[in-house]
Amino acid sequence: MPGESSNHSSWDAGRLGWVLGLTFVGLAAGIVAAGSLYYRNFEKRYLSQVERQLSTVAELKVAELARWRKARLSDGAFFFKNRSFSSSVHRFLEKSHEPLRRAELQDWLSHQLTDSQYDRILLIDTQGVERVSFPETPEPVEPHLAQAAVEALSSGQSAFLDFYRDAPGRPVHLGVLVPILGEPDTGPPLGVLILRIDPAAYLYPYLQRWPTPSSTAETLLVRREGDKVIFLNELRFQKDTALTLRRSLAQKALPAAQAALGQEGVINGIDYRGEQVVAALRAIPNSPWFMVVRMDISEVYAPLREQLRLVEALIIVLLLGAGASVGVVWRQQRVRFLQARYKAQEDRAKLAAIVEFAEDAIIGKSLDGTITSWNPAAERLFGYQAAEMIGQPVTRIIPHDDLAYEPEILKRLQRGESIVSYEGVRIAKDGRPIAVSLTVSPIRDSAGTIIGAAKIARDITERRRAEEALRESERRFSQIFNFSPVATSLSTVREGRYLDVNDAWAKMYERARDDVLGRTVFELNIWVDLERRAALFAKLQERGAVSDFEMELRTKSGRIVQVSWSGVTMVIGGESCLLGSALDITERKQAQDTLRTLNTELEQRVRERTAELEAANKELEAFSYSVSHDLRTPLRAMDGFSMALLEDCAGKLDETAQDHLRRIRAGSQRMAELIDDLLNLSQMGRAEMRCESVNLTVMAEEIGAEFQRLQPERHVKFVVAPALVVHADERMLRVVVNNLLGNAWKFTSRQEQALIDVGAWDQDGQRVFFVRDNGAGFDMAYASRLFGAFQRLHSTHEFEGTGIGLALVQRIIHRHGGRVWAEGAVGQGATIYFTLGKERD
Amino acid sequence: MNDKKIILLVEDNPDDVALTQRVFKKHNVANEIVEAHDGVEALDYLFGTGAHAGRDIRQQPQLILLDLKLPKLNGLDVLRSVRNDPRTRLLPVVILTSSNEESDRVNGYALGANSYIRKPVDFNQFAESVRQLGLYWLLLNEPPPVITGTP
Repeated sequence: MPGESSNHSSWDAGRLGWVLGLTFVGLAAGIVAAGSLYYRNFEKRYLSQVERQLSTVAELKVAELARWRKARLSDGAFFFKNRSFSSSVHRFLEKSHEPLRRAELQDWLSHQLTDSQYDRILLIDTQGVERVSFPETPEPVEPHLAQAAVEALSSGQSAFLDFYRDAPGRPVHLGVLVPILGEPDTGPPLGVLILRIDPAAYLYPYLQRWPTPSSTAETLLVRREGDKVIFLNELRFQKDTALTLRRSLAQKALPAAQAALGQEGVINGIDYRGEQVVAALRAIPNSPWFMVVRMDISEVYAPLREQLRLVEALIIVLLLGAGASVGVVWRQQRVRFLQARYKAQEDRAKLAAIVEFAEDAIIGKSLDGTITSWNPAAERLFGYQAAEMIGQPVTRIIPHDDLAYEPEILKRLQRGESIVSYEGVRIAKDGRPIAVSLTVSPIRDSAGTIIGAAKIARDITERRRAEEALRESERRFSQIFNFSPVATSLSTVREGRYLDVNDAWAKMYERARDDVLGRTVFELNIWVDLERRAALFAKLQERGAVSDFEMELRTKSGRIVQVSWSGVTMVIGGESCLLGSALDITERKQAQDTLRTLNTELEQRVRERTAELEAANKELEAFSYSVSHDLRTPLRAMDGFSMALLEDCAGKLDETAQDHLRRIRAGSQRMAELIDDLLNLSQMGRAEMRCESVNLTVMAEEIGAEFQRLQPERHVKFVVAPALVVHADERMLRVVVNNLLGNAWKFTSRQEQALIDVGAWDQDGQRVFFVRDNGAGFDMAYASRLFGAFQRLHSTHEFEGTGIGLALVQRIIHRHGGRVWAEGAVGQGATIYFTLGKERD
Repeated sequence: MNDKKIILLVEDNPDDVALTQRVFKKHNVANEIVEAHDGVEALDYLFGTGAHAGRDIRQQPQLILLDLKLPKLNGLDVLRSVRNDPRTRLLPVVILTSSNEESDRVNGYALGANSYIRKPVDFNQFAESVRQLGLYWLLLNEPPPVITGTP
């Protein structure tokens, strides 16, 4: 079958080549014929147009020349037998020396003189003597003219003197001769009036003029002289031709000769230059002249040649186009043919390969049950080699029990039926039974007659085993599914119908498994929020799987369970299903909620506390303000009016009374100091901190110098370590140093050799500063009270002060994030240590 | 116009008024001292309103001594009104108060107080302060030109 189709294709291709070739030849012939026909037609029309043009020009020019000659003769006729003119001439000839006579004559001729046609007008008397010439010129009368004048005198008739020339090189002229007769008209002639014509003035230019631009068109004027034709005008392509160029009349091809012989019409010929020309020939009526109007063939044919080239180009383009089209068609057919052939070969090779490498045994057999082919898979399956089996009856591999079916199968094959996936047992060479699935199809020849069968036998032993394994796997999966502690379900996507649920699921939803299977989520009223369900399915649609999707579901008793759901969609038996597991997170949720509530409560409490703190702060501020202002005012009154009493009533008060008043004043002033210290403490606690780099060494030295200045009588040795630079609020630090040095200054007041030492060392990566003195010292038992506000370890008698200083120091140090502590012993001095929190550098 | 050199003493505490008066007297400050016992009264005097309606307000004090803690309208409010009115904008105002609060000082100067004096409890110191005040503001300081009428 494949061979036949391939032959058919090649026959097709051959015939197609012929058809295409013939088509091309036909097309080409048509194109060439049409082109040439078109060109011939064009040429014919064009040439007739050229001839018409030449004839028209010739006729126009002939008419003009005839008119011109007639005009010249009529000029002469005006003077001939003109009695007035004759008497003027007569009077002049008698008294030619009188200027009046000459002027009279000039009057007569004045019209002709202004006409450029005539270059000289002469009057010649009967003796042949020139009597007058306009214009006056010494040029003698040309012999031709004189001769013609004599002839005119003798004939007594006007005459037209044709082109003449006296000698080569002399100008060419024409003339009109008019004999002037005496009275009456028959009397003897008085003389001859000659009107000489210069042809270069009008005639030649007129002849040379052409109505359209042309490179070769020309008009020739000729006359016949004996067996010669003589050219009368100056020509376009040759100089000095007038009356000098002559040609024999025997030159038949010469248009001028033909014209001189009297031929009229349009002819082709060879002109005086030997060029091919087209010429229109005409005789000028009432003259010996003939006209030739000609144009070079080359010019005439120039547009034709162009047209010819165009037509040729068009033909070539059309031929190429036709050739290309035919070529493309041929190529396409060729490609299709080759593809078909290649595909046929490939198909055959594939088929052979399929049979060769098929996993299934493929066996060919004739209708009588004889094996005709046996592929390698058959060799492997049954253990028989192809050579052993071909030609053998197929019954060799059929067990006895199955032999009864074989005729039935053959019958069905003969009817054209196929037997598909018939499962049975066949026997291998070693006698081992093999489970096979058989597919048997009839084989037909090209005419459609069934000639045999192809039997495909598949070894299904493996499949049987795989099926068993699958069933085992399913059992295992089913166990995993059932005993999983996570609630798992399989349901259809479309209806939400449960196909399977596990025990954990049943437990979570408080339902028996059998009550659930086959029912839908809607029937069971599982969903609490259907919008949530829509969101879940949208997600599933998008990704195919969802994990940790939180939602609420309802149990049989109506309890709401919070679950974290994960699942995938899968197709089972053609239906889209959902396998999902749900984790009960109700308790976790509740814990989270509780935590959130606790957090919220905590935040609320913090907010409340903060507000309370802010209110307390505000109150404190108002309190200090009030203390600052109001508490001092009565003190001032006490002090002021005590003073007033002391000043105004000093005379009336005894010393005791005055002492009492002084004590009132002192009390008031001390209380004012206490108030100021308290306020100071409170302010230091509230003031905004601006930390910067501060040189503690410089600060301590300045403050020490100030104390010395105030009490120059004291001898105190200040030792300050160099370059103590700290990061602190300068104003506050100054309060600290001022207080510490002030204390040291104060408590060393009893020492002869007071020593105050300021320094620092590093301890555990922290800088510890100290101020040490060798003063009164203190009992370490009271060290803890040292930094309390208004705590004093000495009586005011011993050392003055309010007891606020160290409290202030401690507050400032704490605000810097540092610590302050003291060491000392009674009578052995004291050392105050402090840090300033984390050092910047 | 300004020949009568008036001091406006804005002070609610009669003790402080008496003590201040005493100091001025002791140091021979002969100026007339006008007392105002709250903020409203001070402004009434300055602008010729309320109890002082009809007063010739072209006659303005040469110095205002202003306490901060006052009934009705406090000292800072009085200062603000004084500085906002073109008629009193240039008057020298000295804050004389018991308060040593930083915020009071900052606000006082910000509102255009010319000085801030803290009343000491010690009468001698108080007398010295008031004496210096009178000396400086009434004798040494050249007062600003008088501005009359409304803007």
